Amino acid sequence: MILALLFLVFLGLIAVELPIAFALGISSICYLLLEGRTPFVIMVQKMTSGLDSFPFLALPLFVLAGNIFSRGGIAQRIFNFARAIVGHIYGGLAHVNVLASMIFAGMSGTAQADAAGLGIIEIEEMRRDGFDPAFAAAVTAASAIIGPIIPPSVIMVIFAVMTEVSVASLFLGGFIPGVIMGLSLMAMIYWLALTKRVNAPRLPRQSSRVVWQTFFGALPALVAPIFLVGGMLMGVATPTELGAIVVVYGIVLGFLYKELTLRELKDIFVESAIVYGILVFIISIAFPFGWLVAINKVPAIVAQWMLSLTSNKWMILILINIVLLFAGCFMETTAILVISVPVLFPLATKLGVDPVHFGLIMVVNLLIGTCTPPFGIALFITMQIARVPFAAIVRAILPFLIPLIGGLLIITYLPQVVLFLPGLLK
Amino acid sequence: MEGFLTRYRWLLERIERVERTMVISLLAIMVGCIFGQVVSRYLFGLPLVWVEELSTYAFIWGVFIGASLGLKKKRHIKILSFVSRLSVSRQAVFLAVTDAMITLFCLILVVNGFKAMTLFEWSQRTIALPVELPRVLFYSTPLILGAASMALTAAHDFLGILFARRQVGSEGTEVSR
Repeated sequence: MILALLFLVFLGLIAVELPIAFALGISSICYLLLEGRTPFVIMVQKMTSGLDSFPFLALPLFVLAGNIFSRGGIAQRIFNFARAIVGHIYGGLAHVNVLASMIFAGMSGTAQADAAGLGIIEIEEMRRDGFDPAFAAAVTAASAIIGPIIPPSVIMVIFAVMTEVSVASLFLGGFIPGVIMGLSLMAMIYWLALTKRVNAPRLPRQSSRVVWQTFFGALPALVAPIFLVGGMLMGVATPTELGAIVVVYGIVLGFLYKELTLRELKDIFVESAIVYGILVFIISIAFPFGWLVAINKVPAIVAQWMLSLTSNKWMILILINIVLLFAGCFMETTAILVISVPVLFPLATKLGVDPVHFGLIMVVNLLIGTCTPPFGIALFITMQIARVPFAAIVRAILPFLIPLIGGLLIITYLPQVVLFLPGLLK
Repeated sequence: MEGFLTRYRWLLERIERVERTMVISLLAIMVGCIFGQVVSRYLFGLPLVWVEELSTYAFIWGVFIGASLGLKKKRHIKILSFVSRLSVSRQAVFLAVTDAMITLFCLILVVNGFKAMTLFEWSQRTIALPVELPRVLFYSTPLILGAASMALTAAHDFLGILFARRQVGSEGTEVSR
């Protein structure tokens, strides 16, 4: 009973716009006060000891990598290359937008590095080419969420640390689903353009000389994801180590192309530290929160309740999908993740769902949540870049929810799609 | 009060400068150490065992100092609700309340951080570092310093709203990964 209070206090504090980290902390403390048996010091102890984990270091490193690569030069070169390959297809720059995001996803671990760096270029070019800015913003938001599905991925690192699933397996598991989701977005764009539901000017087909030229321009960026996936598959280095290598690579590249100064680099470091500090601070407070949830046997209660509805594994997975999509409409990604993982993960493993498969289901689910109104972070970012009203971007994003949710269903019901690459590891 | 707040702000700016330098160094340690370890393993066949431990400690320090910088920049992730639609003066009431809660919470963390130090951590030592150090330096110490700094920041904002009637408004939400 006191536990229900824990959640109620948490939601109440969120509603008065207390930052999530403090809302988690204060509701945990309220619980401990009422329960009266556990000393607060346990909370502090759980906060720090949970952070002592080497795989966790992949998080700041890939935040850093994303921030380094999203600076002007590289993003522009990726965009030029994508334009040379797919610009002439029905849908024009909208396809370019998706493909560029997919390539960029291979270096960046967060959706906002994509939306903020590449997104500005994508939306500007689409607007100049005669696209509706709201449509441009919607495509950018929808394709930005591929960033954290294709490795590397910050949200997967968080899931991995909370559940002790291997980061490398999760990363590899995201590769094929990310490509599938990108292709299904492109299919939707193609259909929208072909049926003239959106105005999508096509570009002339580029000569092979231009394709090669832009290919070599983008080569340094194209190498990174291949290196990353290859490195993990062959067990050359851990994801954390690969993160450090990608960061050093990005810095060297930035200085070679004279696109980075020492001063800017310092600012990138500070910016990345703020992003990762805030994120991991939430997780560190979520450790005692999750512990309280676990010792109160909430997972068992939820499991019992769900199993009383149906004992079919696939039905339960669809139930989880629906609950998470619904939560994603109203809540912030990290908040849902830290609350739901301690409850749902034990349930899923009990049902015999592969931990890596379940991780992908959760991550993709939550990322789609960043594109769903009324609370969708990706929509907020891109509508600001495109300077369009919220209602307009909501209308424009709706058709893209079909391929995104379709992709989610493929991932949920065809575990092989997720598990094929990680299976090669063993 | 105005004079006190000005001096208070001066102090916070000093702290911020120190924190900036710290996070830059901490991230540099993480990148440098881990990269160096890979190089050392493949080029010289020498895996460095203490690197993982050192960089993990840098990571823990970076979390609390980074979170503290984030509070100064008002970047902590929150969900915009009805509050941001209120008039500025009504918003100020909510902001004052949340600032007070943050201050209180951080003070609780500081006090219990000291308790955790004395209760558990004095006896624990580092494992692989070339010099043996008490683990307190990497667990409770960053937490206490970060929380103390956050308490100072939030208390300043609280006092600012209460006494100086500074212009307040809602900041945008932050994005998560």
